[in-house]
Amino acid sequence: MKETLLEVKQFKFSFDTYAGEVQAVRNISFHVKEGETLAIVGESGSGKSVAVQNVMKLIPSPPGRIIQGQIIYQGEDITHYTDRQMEQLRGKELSMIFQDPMTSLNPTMKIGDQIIEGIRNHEPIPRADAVKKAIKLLTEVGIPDPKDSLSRYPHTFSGGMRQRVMIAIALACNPKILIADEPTTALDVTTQTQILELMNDLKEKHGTSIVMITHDLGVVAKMADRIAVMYAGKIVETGTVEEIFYQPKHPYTWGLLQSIPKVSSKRMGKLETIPGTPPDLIAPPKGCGFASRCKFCMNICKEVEPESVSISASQSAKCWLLDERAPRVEREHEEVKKYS
Amino acid sequence: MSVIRFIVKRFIISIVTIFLLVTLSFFLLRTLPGNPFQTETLLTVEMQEKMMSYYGLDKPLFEQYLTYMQNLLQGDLGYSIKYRNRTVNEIIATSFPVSADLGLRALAVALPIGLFLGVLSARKRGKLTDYLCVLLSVIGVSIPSFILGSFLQYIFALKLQILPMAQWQTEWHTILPTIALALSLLAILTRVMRASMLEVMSQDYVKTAKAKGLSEGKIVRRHQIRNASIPILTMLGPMVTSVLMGTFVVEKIFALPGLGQHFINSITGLDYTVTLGLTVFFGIFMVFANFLVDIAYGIVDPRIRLMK
Repeated sequence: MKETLLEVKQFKFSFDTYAGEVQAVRNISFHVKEGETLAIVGESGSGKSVAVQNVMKLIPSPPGRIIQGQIIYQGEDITHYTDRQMEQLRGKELSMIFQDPMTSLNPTMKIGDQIIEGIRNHEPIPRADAVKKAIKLLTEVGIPDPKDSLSRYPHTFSGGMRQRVMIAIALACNPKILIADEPTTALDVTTQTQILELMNDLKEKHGTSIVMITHDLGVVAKMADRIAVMYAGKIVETGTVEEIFYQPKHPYTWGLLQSIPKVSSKRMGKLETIPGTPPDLIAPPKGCGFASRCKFCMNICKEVEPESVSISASQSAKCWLLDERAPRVEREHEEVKKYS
Repeated sequence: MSVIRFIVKRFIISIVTIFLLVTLSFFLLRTLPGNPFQTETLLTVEMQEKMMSYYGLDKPLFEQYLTYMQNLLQGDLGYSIKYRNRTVNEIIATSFPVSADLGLRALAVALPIGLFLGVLSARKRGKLTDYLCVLLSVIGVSIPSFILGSFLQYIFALKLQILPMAQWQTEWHTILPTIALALSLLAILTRVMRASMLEVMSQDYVKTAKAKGLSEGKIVRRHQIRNASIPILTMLGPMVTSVLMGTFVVEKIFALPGLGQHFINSITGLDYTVTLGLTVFFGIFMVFANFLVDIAYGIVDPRIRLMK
């Protein structure tokens, strides 16, 4: 049994704005085990970035504010760690790569310095050794001419190459968890595949756990061991890849799966969408957040929030349809198998 | 592209710029109505004409222009029309050091303090420190230097009697004019640096630096200040030039023998050679300052280096 590295429990996080308190994350719990990849999926504004950036406390406070909950890393509650304590964890235990490689590297600093800076921040080794390590890292992430690349500036690299540099920076101190916040969204499709393969390779090699945030279910299928589906600041369904792709239980998950563009369909139909927009998180609905967009919405859905229902040891969903008193509804069946 | 090619290219462009500047100023100046001797009411029209021919001002304009350019190439800016027996070169040589001295002192005060307050203010955004810095820079920008200068004189020279009222003699004499000149510079620098820092602080690479586990201090020093100072560099060329060239108001209030007064007096008195000479001097200085700024740009920001 693999050990649980990171656990987030009943976590609530809000932003104080002039318009009011935006409840970006409303009571979520998830965990990451050693060496596994957890994918957090959901549409824009569902709170997935906020949820994971909080693990590293990268969201400035104010305006951000932890309302309740715990973040536990290797058995230790880091929820209220000070900045100084967090600095020990950031880059060394937990690392992060971001969505846009074009802006995530400092344009006025050589990439070698940007890598070495991270290494020497955590390991008191001479510069020459750090340089060697940086070269090794660049080789590992597939940058050609790693030695010469050290003295190059970010603008001389393409987006894909910059993301590789970002990965090198993130892996510099062998972190246990790599948080990837939509790492391939800003890249073109062929580069996406390369970056994902690189991440998978490195994960195998170093045993790093990955928390992958994405709204691309193709990425999820390729990378994840487990999936958490987020909607309006909550995790509405969670389970293994197989469970989510083959036996999804939540209507929102159904909608997400149906919205995948299908190359294989014979008729070039319209792209499937989920009608409507996510609820306003300043005044979230009291019932299920998805109720207003759900085809199967019942009276209770608008009034009372559904509890999490376990479907198997690894899968659970929050939906009133899973209640034994609810009518049996069938998911409009699609050829799910084709794209997994 | 090699550095030498860049410098040569910039040098040629600078020469052309200065040539255009001199030519334009020469002809524009002559379109002003009247002549240098008109203002002296005692002179008859006949005598005025005599004076004009004495200075060669009655010749065809283009001929005068050629003569001027010839002399200019030899570094000779000509005789002043108003000051008897003084060349423009002499006027610059005696007045510029005073203005430059004052200007450098003001910059030496304003630059470090302004940048520091800008960084501080951005880091403490929305807190009391920030408001105080913003208040100071609003005050600095809005109070005209003649008010500030007179105010300083009133407090420190007249009431407290701890500093001399005016003139340029000992170190003590430099304090009040330096403050009077530095405050507005400091205010502008603070504002620009604050805005620039705020922009840099929200950049993704700052988040990357934080995710590496760097401390706040290291992030500010290594990633923010350098990038935030690029807009400061841009404004430094014109700012340094105008400050070193002397400020009419401050020099007038403190009775300093600087260059500022000559700019104003020579234009009101239609002292063609002085106006033109100072314009050329100013122009060369400005072009040179901007040249230095461009080189500094390349050092600070590698993206700009590539584009040259």
